[in-house]
Order: sequence, then structure tokens, then C-alpha cells
Amino acid sequence: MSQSDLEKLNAKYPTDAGLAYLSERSVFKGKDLHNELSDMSWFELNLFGITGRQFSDGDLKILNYIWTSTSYADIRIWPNRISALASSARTTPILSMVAGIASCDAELFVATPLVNCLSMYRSFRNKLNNGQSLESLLEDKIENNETIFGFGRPISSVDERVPHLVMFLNSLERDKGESFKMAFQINDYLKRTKKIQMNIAALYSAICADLGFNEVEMNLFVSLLVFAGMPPCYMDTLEKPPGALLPLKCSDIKYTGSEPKNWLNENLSL
Amino acid sequence: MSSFHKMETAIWKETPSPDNPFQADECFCYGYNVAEDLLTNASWIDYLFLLISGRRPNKDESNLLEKLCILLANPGVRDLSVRAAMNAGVAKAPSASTLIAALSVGSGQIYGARELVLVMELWKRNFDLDKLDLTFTKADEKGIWPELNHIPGFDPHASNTSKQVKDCLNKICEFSTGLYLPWLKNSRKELEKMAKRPLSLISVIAAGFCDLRLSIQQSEFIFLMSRLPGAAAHAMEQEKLGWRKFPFFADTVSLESDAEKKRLPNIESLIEGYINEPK
Repeated sequence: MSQSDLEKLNAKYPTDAGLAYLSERSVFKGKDLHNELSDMSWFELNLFGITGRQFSDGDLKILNYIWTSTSYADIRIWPNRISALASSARTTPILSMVAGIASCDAELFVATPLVNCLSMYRSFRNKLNNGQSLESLLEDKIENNETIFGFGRPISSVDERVPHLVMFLNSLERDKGESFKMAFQINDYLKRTKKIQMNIAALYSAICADLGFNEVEMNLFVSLLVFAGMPPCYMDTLEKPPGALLPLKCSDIKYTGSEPKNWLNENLSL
Repeated sequence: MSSFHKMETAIWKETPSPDNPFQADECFCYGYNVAEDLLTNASWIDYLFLLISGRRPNKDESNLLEKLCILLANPGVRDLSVRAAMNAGVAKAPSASTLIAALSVGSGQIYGARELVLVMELWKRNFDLDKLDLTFTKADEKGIWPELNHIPGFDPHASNTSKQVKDCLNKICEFSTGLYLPWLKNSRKELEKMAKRPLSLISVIAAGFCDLRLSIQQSEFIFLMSRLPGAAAHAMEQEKLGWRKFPFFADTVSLESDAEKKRLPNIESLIEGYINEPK
């Protein structure tokens, strides 16, 4: 990187993403959007935009299932609650959805667990191929106090999405990939040693790792993972009185701070 | 995770109105009455420091934070976060959308809040260990942040330190409340030689936050908030100037791999009979 890079890009900025020739046509990743890609579902187009690849019908069924099976329309769930709070505050639908989605970079749900878990499988696969054992890799992680993303779940220990996903995959009668099998081997180890069970991130990430997603592709793919649960929460809250989402009384706040103080009369020993 | 809906806080206390448990009669922040005490006696900067850190700043800390907020208030019209805000502004998006655009873009690992985090880690590591080391270890496993491809705090697109950065560093050192800003001033040339790149303004800001004894997370929040005034100002200005004056980069952006050109369907023949009955 240097000043001359900026000079070149200031004069001419090449792109592979696509280009809109306004009033004529629009190119999307080298293909004419309206002539070559118009038969795609929006979901396929999104995946093509992320990976540059076109997936088989079987792969698309599984990837679509990932989005569908985690679209929970429950206003208590954090990203949904953010959208519902925005609805309660009577802001615009887009600002409400964006607020909910922005929270999906969180450590406790969506992006961070899924991307880190996928990265762990990719890294483990290399190390296993080099002769290391899965047990020793997990022991190292535990010894170094590293989070094993995809395992354990806040609020409840059993993730109901796991058996549903496995049943769905079994119904498709496809071979299970290396990462998918590894997820259950890790689950078995952690269940025995730590009494921790897998959450759905372990399997979503495994499926995507086995389909060849890298970390950035995974991150982009899951950015709208829980989106479909948000509009029902927005609509439901719109039916309630304004500013009344899960209302709190002053006494619902447990104050643990200092006693009343006075700014001017305070003895500052600073 | 609480199963009942009592929320815990050490920051904010409200006493309810006698006739309405949902209405606050008095609000206290860290024990100070907001209406009767803070409103009269605290400055905005004091209150900001108190809110974010939980402690009152002394006079020198308050002065330094104010100076840092001046440096942060407008990242400038070419800054990526301000350009994002202007894109939203010129299209007449709601003000919140404009600031969300600025916040998202201003969160990044270059010119943004994530860079501040990394530089503060770097300065603390270098200063506390009393050695110069600008290396970052690459983890086996990746998270949500893209790969880091420049040394945080140094301008990857320049060879010499800008006068602006030198001036800001020299001036803000006069308000230093600790050892980091003077250390940066004294070590600048050595650090730049090691990085083979000049210091950027974020490195100065990071040293300032270190001097304030704010945590990295507290500093990151103040950094993000404090850069929004410039984003708002430039967005409003572009909205007034209008989209015709806002560059579309039509002649700059060029496609590497084009698709086969096909003619646009003729809309006139497609809608024949829609307006008037066919002859």
C-alpha cells in the first residue's frame, strides 16, 4: 500500500462486483442481472453475490432451511426485541430492522459464534490432517480458556433446532461432511467432560464449512439469518400503545449504585 | 439471564411519582440529581466522562477530553464515515439513518473505532513494557473482523507525517494528564521508522484516551459518539446542495468482467393496449 495506489485508484477504479449502465442494463458479478439471473430466487442470487458460486438444489434446500429454522418471531429474543422496541418508539420499519440486524454482530448470537465456529472447523481440519487428535485440540482450547463457539447456550441447555435439523438432513439422504461429523464428535467430548451440549451454530457452521464457505462468506450469509423473525415483532408492537413494549415501573429497576451526592459539595480527592 | 423483569443498574435511579409508578419524579445519575444538580453544575464533558467511566473527571481530565472531542468532532469531508453520512444525507434519508451510516463505517479497522481499540492495545503494550514492538500475532482462527493489513495508528498510504498530525500531537501534549502523549511525542520518529509509515491522527487520539485512564471500551464508545457532529453537518450540507452536485464517479468506476450486451426490451410494444384499446 502506498500513495501511488491511491493515485491509480483515484484515476480509475476497477470493479468485479458489477455495474449499472443506467437506462441500459445491469451487470451483477459478470452476468446480466435481468437476462441471465432473473430465474434465480432472491436467496440464490444473494448466495451467488457472496460466493460467486451457484449451488445445487440440494445445497440450496439446506441453506434455506438454515435461515428458516432460526427465524423465531419472539419479541423477547434480543435482536427481535430491539426491532420491537424500535416499533414501540414508532420509528420507521427500516431503522427498526437495521437496529435488530446490527446487533447480530454479537458474541452471544449469530455472527460471532457462527463465524468463529466455522473458523475452528477449518483450522481443526488442517490440524487433524497433520496428525493431531481432536481431543488434544479441544483440551488446548480449554486450557487456554478459549471459547468453543457453537457449544453451550444461554438461557437453556438443549437447542431444539438440533434434532429438527438432523431430521431434515436425514430426510434428504445426503452424505454428511467432515465438519458435520466433527461437530458431533466435539459434542460428545464436551458432554462427557463439561456437561455442555452443542447449539445450532455448531451445525450451521459445520454445514457451511463442508460447502466450502470461508469466514467472510459465512459472515455475509448469516447477516440476515434471524431477520424473518423481526417483521412480525415489529407489526405486533405496532398494534400496542406507543412506548409500551414490556413496560417497566420505576420499581422494576434494582438500583445498586451510590447514595445521593451533591456535585458542588463533594470532597474530591483527585 | 434473569427470568423476572427486574433490571439491575448502578448508574441510574428513579423515584416514581406518588400516583404513577411508570413516571419518574426524580432521576439520579451515579447519585447526582439530574434536574437539581447536574443540570446546573456539571459541564457536558464532565457528565460524558462520568456516564462512560462511572467517575468524575478532575479539571485536567475534563480539559483533555474536551480537546480530544474537538479533534474528533469532524473527521473531515474525505473521511469514509463522513462520506457514508453524506450518501445518506444527499438522498434525504432520516437523520438516524445518516448517523447509522457514519457509525457503521466509522467502526472500522482503518480510520475507525476498531483502529482506536487496536492502537490503544498497541500503545499500552509498548509503553507498559517499555519496548517498541508493532507486531500483531495472527490467530489460527478468525472472527468477524476482516484481516488486518496495516499497522494500526500508522497511515498506510503516506510516507511522511502530515503537518496536521504533528501540530495536533504537539498541541494536545500541552493538555496531557498522563505519560502516554509525551511518550508518543518523544517516540514518534522511532515508531515511524519501525513502521516505515507516518503516525496517523488516531494514534494521537489513542494516546490521549490512555492518558485519561479510560478503558479501551470506554474510549471506543466516546470515539464513536464524538465523531458524529461532523457527519451530521456534512450530510445536511450535501442535502442542501442536492444530488446533482454529489459525485457519482461515473467516469472513474470501470467493470473488469462485462456480461454479453443485450438490448433493452421495447417498453412501448410491451404496454400496447394498456392505455388505449388496441386498434
